[in-house]
Amino acid sequence: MGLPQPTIDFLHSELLRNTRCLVVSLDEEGRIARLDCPWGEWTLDILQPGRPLPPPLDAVLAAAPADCAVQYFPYIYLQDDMVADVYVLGKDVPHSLILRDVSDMHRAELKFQQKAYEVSLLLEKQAELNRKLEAQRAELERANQAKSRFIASMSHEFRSPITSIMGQAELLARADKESELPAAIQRASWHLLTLVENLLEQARLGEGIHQLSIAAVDLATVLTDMRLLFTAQAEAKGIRFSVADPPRSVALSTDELRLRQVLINLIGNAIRYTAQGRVELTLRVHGDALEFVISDTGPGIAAEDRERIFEPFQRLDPGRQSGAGLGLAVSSQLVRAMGGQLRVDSEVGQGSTFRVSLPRGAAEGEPDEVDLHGLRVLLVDDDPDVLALYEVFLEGWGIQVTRSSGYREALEHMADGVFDLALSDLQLQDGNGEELLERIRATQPECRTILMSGAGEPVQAIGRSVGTTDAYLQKPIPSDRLRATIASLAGRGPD
Amino acid sequence: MADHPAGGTSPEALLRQRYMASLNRKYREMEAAWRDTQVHHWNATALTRLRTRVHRIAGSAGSYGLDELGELARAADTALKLAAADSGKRQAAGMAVQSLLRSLHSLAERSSA
Repeated sequence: MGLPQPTIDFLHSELLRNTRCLVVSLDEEGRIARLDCPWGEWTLDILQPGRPLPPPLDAVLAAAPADCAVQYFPYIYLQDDMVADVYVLGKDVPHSLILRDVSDMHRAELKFQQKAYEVSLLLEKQAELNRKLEAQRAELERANQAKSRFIASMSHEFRSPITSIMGQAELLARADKESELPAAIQRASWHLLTLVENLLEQARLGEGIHQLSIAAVDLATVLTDMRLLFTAQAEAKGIRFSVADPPRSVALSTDELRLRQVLINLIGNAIRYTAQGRVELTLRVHGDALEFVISDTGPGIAAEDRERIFEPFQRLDPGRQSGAGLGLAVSSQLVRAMGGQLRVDSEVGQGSTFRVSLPRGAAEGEPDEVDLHGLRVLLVDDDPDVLALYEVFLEGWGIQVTRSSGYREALEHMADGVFDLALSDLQLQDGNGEELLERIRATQPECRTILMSGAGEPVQAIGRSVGTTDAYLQKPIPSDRLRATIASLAGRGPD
Repeated sequence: MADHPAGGTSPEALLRQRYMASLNRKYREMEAAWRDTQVHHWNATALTRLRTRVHRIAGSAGSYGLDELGELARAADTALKLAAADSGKRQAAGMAVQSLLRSLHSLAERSSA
């Protein structure tokens, strides 16, 4: 190339290899001696051999210190929008300047800086919006709490005089047994009290308060009270209201006041929406769960409404029926708080059945003197310790036990024999216990089934198993509970 | 569990003795399953093996009079179930399993003493 060796060496350095460069060699008087373009073609009009260096390159050369072999000057603006990094090589030899075209890089950098600035503006705007949102959320929260406190306070104020009215009506009824007026006053007061209780409960639930008072419930008294409360109301509409007797020797531990509130809401709704026919309240035992069933011959509920009726302030027929639309929402939340589940089965034109499933709680084992001799039971569990223990229990009661440690083995036993009852654990090594029991029921419809589980979520298991098995028992199962459940299902005890 | 009225030990009592005697083995098996779970980064196979062991204790301990052990096992069972779905819950599950192992080990040592 005819250039000095140091210049050639520098050109071949990592920095400049194969990049667009122009080497400007100067003579001893500082004029442009030659122009070399090592890679490709690159010319600049401002640079002409025989002419002095044009600005700003002359200033760059003047600024380069004498004792430096290579001096770097970045981003020097040349003609038009051309930008170059300039390297000045040595001062003790005829000078060379190497120009490296960085126009594209420079444009990209400018664009990046512009974008970064725009992003910073957006981020600032977003931070401002977040601050406003947070302030609004805090304000809404304060307003919500104030509303809840107001509702609670007002509801409390309403409850006292209503209770007084009901008490006076009670006294009037005793003084004048012939008159219908005291009963009418009591019914209206009950209705008003229910509305107030629902409002108060909605406010409490809105603040996340679930203070339950768990105690043994006198089921017979609760059911009798429901009968007394609603019979006259139903008769006035020409519909029949019946309450089944509670199962013998069945105990329930829960918040009795909340349970009554739920039943009042559900029965009240059923009577309100039923124009003719009947409303029934029955109880069913499912091992560790007790189910209150309220069924009616009302208009039924369409599929698309069956979920929203459990939301607050939702009413199916706001123009025709009275009520605040809180009863089902409050009932659903109360039942959940008590560890249970509220479901509805309904079709339009075929009435509705509401089911309240509640865990029976720490109820005492019911006394049972029933003879279980000869009962044929299939016992399925993949835990040998559990299998051995329950087999001992069952055989001790005179039961004929066939034991199985898994799904497939159980099906083989079912194919070979007839059973009165099948017990299975939910989780089996080779299958699902609930599916097993469903298959058993399909092949031997007379066989009753009990699902056992040590799972930590009894409510979900109750909701799932009710309707698919006859009873559900949560491990560990005391022997008296096991015996009572078997006895009740085998038709030899309370149901 | 009362003694058999005709004398000797009742079947329930014999089963309970057998259960207590098995606690040492149960502890070793669960401890190995827990170690495997950690070594294999909570993969599905190791976790299932551990959950099976925990679940069995949850279902059986109370029936043999070991209520506290049963409670710890149920807590660990639930925690492992949550951890299987959410890796963020593994630490809590680990603590529950450790509590269970300590209790099981203590009972196993007492029953073999």
